[in-house]
Amino acid sequence: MIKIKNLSIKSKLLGLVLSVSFTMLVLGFSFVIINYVLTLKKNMVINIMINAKLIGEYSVAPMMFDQREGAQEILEKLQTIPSIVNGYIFYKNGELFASYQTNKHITIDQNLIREPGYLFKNKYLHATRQIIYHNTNYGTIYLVATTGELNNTILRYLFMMLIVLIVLFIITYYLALKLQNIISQPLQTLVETTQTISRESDYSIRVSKYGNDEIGQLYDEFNEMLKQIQEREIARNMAEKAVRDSEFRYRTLFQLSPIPIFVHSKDHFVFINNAAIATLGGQTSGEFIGKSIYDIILPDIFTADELTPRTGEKSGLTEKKYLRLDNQIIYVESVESQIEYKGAPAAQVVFQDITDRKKAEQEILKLNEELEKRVQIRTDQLKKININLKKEIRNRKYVEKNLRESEERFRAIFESTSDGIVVWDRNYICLYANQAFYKYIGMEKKKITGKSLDTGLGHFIDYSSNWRQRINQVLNSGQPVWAEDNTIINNKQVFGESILSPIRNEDGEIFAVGIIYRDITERKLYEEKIKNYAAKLEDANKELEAFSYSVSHDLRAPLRSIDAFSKIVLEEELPRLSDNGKKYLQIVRDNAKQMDLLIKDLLDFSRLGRKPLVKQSVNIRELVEFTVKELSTNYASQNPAVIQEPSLDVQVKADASLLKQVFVNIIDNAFKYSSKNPNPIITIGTFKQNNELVCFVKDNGVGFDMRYADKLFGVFQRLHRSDEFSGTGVGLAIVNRIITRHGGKIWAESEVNFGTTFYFTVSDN
Amino acid sequence: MRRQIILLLLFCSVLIGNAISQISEYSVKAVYLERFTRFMQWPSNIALEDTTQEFILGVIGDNPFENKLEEIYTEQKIKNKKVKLVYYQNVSQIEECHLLFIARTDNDKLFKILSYCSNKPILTVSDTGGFGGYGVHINFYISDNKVKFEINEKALHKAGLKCSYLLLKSARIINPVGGF
Repeated sequence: MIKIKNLSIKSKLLGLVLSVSFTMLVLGFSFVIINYVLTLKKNMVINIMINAKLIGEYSVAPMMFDQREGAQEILEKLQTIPSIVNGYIFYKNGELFASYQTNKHITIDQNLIREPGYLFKNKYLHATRQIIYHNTNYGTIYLVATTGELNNTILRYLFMMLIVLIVLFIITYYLALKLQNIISQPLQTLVETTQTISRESDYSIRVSKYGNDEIGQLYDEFNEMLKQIQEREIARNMAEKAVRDSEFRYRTLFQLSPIPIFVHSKDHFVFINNAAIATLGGQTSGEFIGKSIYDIILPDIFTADELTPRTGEKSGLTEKKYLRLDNQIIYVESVESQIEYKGAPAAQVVFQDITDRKKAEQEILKLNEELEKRVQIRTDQLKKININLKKEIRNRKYVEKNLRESEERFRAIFESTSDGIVVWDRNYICLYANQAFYKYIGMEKKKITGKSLDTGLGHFIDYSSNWRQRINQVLNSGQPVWAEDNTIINNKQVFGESILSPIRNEDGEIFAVGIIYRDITERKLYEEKIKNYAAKLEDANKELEAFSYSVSHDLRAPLRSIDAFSKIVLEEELPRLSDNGKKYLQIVRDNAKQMDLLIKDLLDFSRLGRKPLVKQSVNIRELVEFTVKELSTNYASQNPAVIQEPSLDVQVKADASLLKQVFVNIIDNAFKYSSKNPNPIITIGTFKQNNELVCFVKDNGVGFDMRYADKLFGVFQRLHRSDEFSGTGVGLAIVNRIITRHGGKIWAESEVNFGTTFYFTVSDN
Repeated sequence: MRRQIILLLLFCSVLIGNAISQISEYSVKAVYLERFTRFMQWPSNIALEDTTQEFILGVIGDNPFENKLEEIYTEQKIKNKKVKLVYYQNVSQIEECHLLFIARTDNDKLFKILSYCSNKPILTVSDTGGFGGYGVHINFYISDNKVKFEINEKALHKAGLKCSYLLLKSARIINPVGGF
């Protein structure tokens, strides 16, 4: 049936017509032939019956008067009918009266004698008839005729019919072959067109229809469909191109943007960044994907938290200060938006490097000073010119006006800056001081312009003496000087930072020194605070260490005594102890041990924070093999199957002893929590995910409810009762701390009663 | 009962066609008498169709059948009628009869009988050589030790009796009608 399904419509139509025609022809011919044969046979029977009747009648008298010769004579007249080969006359009682035989091999059918009738048997027709005369039955006439002639006639007829059938069939085949084109040709054309379209993807091709029948409608629908596909194709191509262009533009914009942009995860790992961030961080390589953003820039210690994406959609423009890895301070304006990157919550950060702007501000200040100096010189010259060339007074006034305006402009700028600016000439006479400076020295109401350094700042002795010295330094060296001050102004300690720059006239002679002053009191106070905190931290650490020592020795010693003496009681006083006594003592011992273990783990945990990492190349397979071997002895009774996958054979860069502690804890957990499974299987392996090496340890143990997954790595957090599974609740906290210190992540997946899988990432180079 | 058995045996022996020596020649002849009537047709004025009337079978002269006729025709009907056997000694005794068996006698007596029967629809049967030629309709003779018969077709014709060709074909024909 499948083959027929796959045939072409042309073949199917041809087959259909031919099979129907052939069936009809064969059925019709069969009917005619069968009818013909039946008629022939009937005629033959009628003939032989007539003969039987005649002969029977003639035999009546011979039978009645016992004249066998007479009967014989009558029977022998059958010779004139060649088809009748044998003839017999029987008495009523079945006894043979007379016979005529040309073929002695034919046997008589006794049934036919008893019940007259006829029968085609082998190649002969046997027919019997009662001999009746005047309503009296005298016996039976039995005739046998050969059917040879009949069979020959039938065969001739069959042969003729076969020829007619073949001729009709051939005619039908040619007619069907010609006529099936009417249906199959349009379909064939449609199929070929479809193939052409699918091969060349040319949807502009159309089919031209033959008529308005169903196939014609199909053609119309097909053309309509092609038209729609073509339109859709064009629209899709345009849309795709637009998306590609847009994506390319965006990527180019992102990559080439001088503005540092990057996307980082909640825990500050960079998902994607552009080259500008490298420039910002002062680094040559631009690849930070997977690294912490702290590998690029360190946040200002007091604003560290601000890097974490906040719950809001988008932060406003925030100005921040960072420390580059080369210790340069940079200023940025940042905008953070909370986005989703590859399904994970992330923050997109756009930095605007304003370090240069900050510098430029300072540059502008310098330039302004220079400009002012020039203005001064020009004014001097103008004064001379004014004296000498009164004729040019109008001109001079005009220039003077311009200069005044210019000076006013600069003055306005100077007055408005937050940094204090003051200019002293070679004789320490104040040439200029802006409002910020007055404010800074707490002399808003006074004027010091034109006053000397000593008289103008008389009550700031420190200032005047230090400054005189520094001004001299600048005047002598011609180089700018940077200095810090610490003084009491208005009973308040004030820290200042000042930059002294030489101001030269047109001849290059230094005629004055400009000082830009900035109040750094606040910064200084913070620094002091940090120092205090550091000192306190140091003290706290020392206390902690002392506490640790005390815990490890002072606390554990009594515990061991409890255990040891309980043991002694159990061993030596055994006969005197009641059963309950033994049980209670054993509980005392178990709890003492448990507490000892807890203290040990806590000590380990606290030490972890302080111990520096010693990174080296470590082979994970060796580590795991060693760990499994070590732990297997503890769980020998369970005989757990440990599968160490070939993927374990990788080198990583880590603190070997700490990493081993990680595996010890996790594999020990796996052994422990699968101990109730009769066939424990533990699988250990690694795989790569997002360019990170992920190690996993899988067991088929009791598992835990994923609702409590976040409690897994906390100190003293236990998901199972300790009488069910022993443990202190510190192990996974230790593991978490080790992994975090290595810059990795740890997580677990579990299903109750189906086992747990622990995953953690570790740097593999 | 006994008679029936004898009759059956007789019938069988006749049908089988055994030699006459075993079964009495007259037994065969007695049976044949009835059989002839099957092929014979009497003129329509003789009411043979009326089955309430008897078929009269007469024997003239010395009865050669002994009691065989009685044995047979007490049960056996002729032309579906009961049979009445009548024995005559003289021609004068002959009345209306349908079939008359003429026993061996001299020629004078024969002619008297035949003259009486002529023009009457009486089937005459004899078993004396030459009687057929004299005008008896059916005359038995013995050949090959078997009972055979000859038919005087012309005499039958004259008597107004019609005889089936089937019977004619089984007999030896004397004075054939078509022969003249």
